[in-house]
Parts: sequence; structure tokens; C-alpha cells
Amino acid sequence: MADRDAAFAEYFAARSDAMRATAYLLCGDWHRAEDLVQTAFTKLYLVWNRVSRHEVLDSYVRQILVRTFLDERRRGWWRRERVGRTDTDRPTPPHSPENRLVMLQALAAVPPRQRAVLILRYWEDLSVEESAALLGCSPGTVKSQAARGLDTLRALLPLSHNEIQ
Amino acid sequence: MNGNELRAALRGEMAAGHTPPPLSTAAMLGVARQARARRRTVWACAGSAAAVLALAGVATANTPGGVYSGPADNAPVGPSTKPADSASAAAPTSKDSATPWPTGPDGRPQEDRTAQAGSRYDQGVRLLSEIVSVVPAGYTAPEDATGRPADAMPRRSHQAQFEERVDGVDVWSYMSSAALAQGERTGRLLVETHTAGNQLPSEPCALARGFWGMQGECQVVTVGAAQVGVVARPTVDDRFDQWAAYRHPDGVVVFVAQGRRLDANEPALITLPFSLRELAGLAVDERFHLE
Repeated sequence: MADRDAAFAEYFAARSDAMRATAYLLCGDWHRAEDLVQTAFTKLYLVWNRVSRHEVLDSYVRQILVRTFLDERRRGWWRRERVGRTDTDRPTPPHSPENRLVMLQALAAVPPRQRAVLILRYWEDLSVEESAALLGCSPGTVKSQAARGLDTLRALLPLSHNEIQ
Repeated sequence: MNGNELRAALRGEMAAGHTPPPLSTAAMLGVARQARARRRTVWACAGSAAAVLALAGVATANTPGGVYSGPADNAPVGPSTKPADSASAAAPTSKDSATPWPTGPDGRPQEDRTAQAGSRYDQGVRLLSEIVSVVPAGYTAPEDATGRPADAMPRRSHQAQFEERVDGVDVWSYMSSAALAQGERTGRLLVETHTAGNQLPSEPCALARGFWGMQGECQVVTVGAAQVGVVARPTVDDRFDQWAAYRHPDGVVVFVAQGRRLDANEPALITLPFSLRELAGLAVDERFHLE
């Protein structure tokens, strides 16, 4: 195996699960999450030799992941390709007795861009500025989207879940 | 639920839930190699086509920006492949849910950070009109028109936003932006003003480099008695090409940023509308000095 492939494989083995978890929280579907991860890592592979500062690999892959997710949402890819499946853009009543499902269903009903901000800020623990750079918007927009996303979540979650949290 | 509670909830959800088995590294490598092979084929085909055209006498000997037929690893890349530098960004500053929102003009707390009406909202509108008033000769500030793509950047926008409460003082920021057009090409001018009491840096270049967490090569430009931090070239961020930052003696901070490109839907300006000195001059301009 070439040095390039070996280094790439090592990085993929180390980080793909974490990236898939982020992708899952973004899209609410493990299969789609794997597609997103594959897309992101494929793009990384194509530019591997140019990404000389390997300490920024995570932020690079994360950026591709989130932007691919938002791009596909904007183009309606999800609706075209997933006919018959649950559309996670549509508010889903939290009918499951399990809090876990309630929480994830509520998250999936938050508008995609707000959801992306929530995941970056509170799952990836990125700062406002890092999130803004990744999304290509202003820090103020990140703050607004985060606040609105939290408001949306509060409105979607049952009162008991909010109180438990 | 606030941000910290969501953070804990997400970790709990993911720890408790079912996680599929790890992804196959070998399969991933196979897919990635195929993608590279496909790209090489595309480049090779394009190169062959160019060669045929050249032999037919259609192509000229020296074609600036001609078809690239070298190794894919050295192929030109667009801005989207530029890695973001997470190490350079500042520490988290948001207090999303910890601070109660200010009271709106209707006497009730705002629903979020953004003022939807009232004097703060009006300041955002005013800032936009001031931006339009400084559009240089040869450029126009077009308004939004119907029929633009859904993902297009607004040609004009304004926002007044509550930033934080420092020692009982509400700090606000006003961010307004206008497209600057020259013929078919469109760039962007943005001004962001932070009211007094903000905790932004005082040193001009620290202030400038901290704008939106963007980093870049900074120089101090003197405008009258004012020292303005000006970033002439960003190092890792492509949202703007140049920006200037100035802290007025009363603590109000003004950022002025210009970019050749509004968004991917419209061709970019060939040159930036303002020189570095003009940009620095705008940063100290009293029209953007808002309370």
C-alpha cells in the first residue's frame, strides 16, 4: 500500500466513526450518514497530498460533511431519492415512548441549517467563530440560528422531556 | 433546554443508542481510488481533446488557463477545498440561552437575539442605507429581484443583534451588507458595528484578525489620528478579500469588509471597489459610528 493510502486508511479508521455520528445527527439516518461520510472522505482522498497540515483534517472533513448535507437538502435530493421514507425535514410527532427517539425525532424536525449549527456548537463543541467559518456565514448568524434551533427544539419536545433535561 | 443541556442530551442519546459496526477501511479506499481514477480519466480525455484541437490548428500555442492534463494530485482546486483552520479560531463566546433577551419595543422579551422592530432594528436599517451612500462611482447597489436562486445571497441585508450584557450594559451589533455591482459582475460590502461596552480587542490588528474568526496578514493604516487594522489578504478564509477594523475612542467598533464575490451564482468583480486606504477610511467614517 502506498504511503498516501496507508496514511489515509489510518486516518479513516481513526475518525470515520466520529464523523458518521455527526452525520447521523445531521440527517437522522445511518445509511445516509454513511453516504455523507463516504462523500466527504472521497473528496479528502482526492486532495490528500495538498492537505499538508494534517492537524486541520478534521475541520476539513467536517466542513465537507456539513456542506454536502446542506447542499443536498437545498436541492431536494432527499425528497427525490428517498421516496417512501420519513422526511426528517417535516415535524414528526414524538409518538415513541422512548425519550431517545423523542429527542432524535425533535432534532430531525429542526430546520436543516439550524440543526447544523446545533450539531456543530453542541455536539462537535466548535466555537461560534469556527462554526461560522465552516458554514460560510457570520458569527452573528450562527448565534441566531443556534438560539432559534434551541427554541424549535423546546417547542417540539414534550414538557416532561424539557423538565428532565 | 439550553445549549449545555442539549450538549449533555446529545452525548447521552448517542451513548445509549445502537451504533452500526465500524465502516470498512478497505471499501472506503476502493471507492476513493475509483474516484481518483475517474478524475484522471476526465483530465486525460480533456487533455487529448485539447491536443487534437491544437493539431488541427484551432488551438493556439500558448493558452493561459488551458486544460490541465497533469497528475490529478496537482490539479487546480477551488476555494471549497481549502481546509478551515480550526486552530486559529477564538474560544467560544456564545451565551445562547444563559442571558435573557432584551425587552422589545412591545415591552416583551425578544424571541431571540435579533431585534425585529424598534430602535435597534432601525439602526440596522440605517447602517444599510449608509452603506448604499458610500458606493463608489462606477458601481451600483442593486436590490433583490424576483427569480434569483433560492440559495442566493441577499443583495441587501441588515440585522440588529443583541451580543451580550457587560456590567449591566447591553452590547449590540448591527450588521448590514450590500451587493456592489459593476456590469454583470457583483461583489459585496459589509459593515458591522459593535456598540460601546463590547469586549473586542483594542489593538488594531488583533481587532482586525478577530473579525468573524478570520485570520490574515494585517497592517496598521493611519487615517488622521486614527489607527486602523487592515487585513489585505486572508490566510485561511475566503468569505471576504479585505477588511478593516477600528475602535472609536468611545469603544464603538466598526468592521468594514469587501469581497469580489457575492455568491457562486454571479460572476465576481475583477477588482475590489475600494483601496486599502479607502477601506480604512470607511472604518473611521462617522456614518458607521452607531450607538
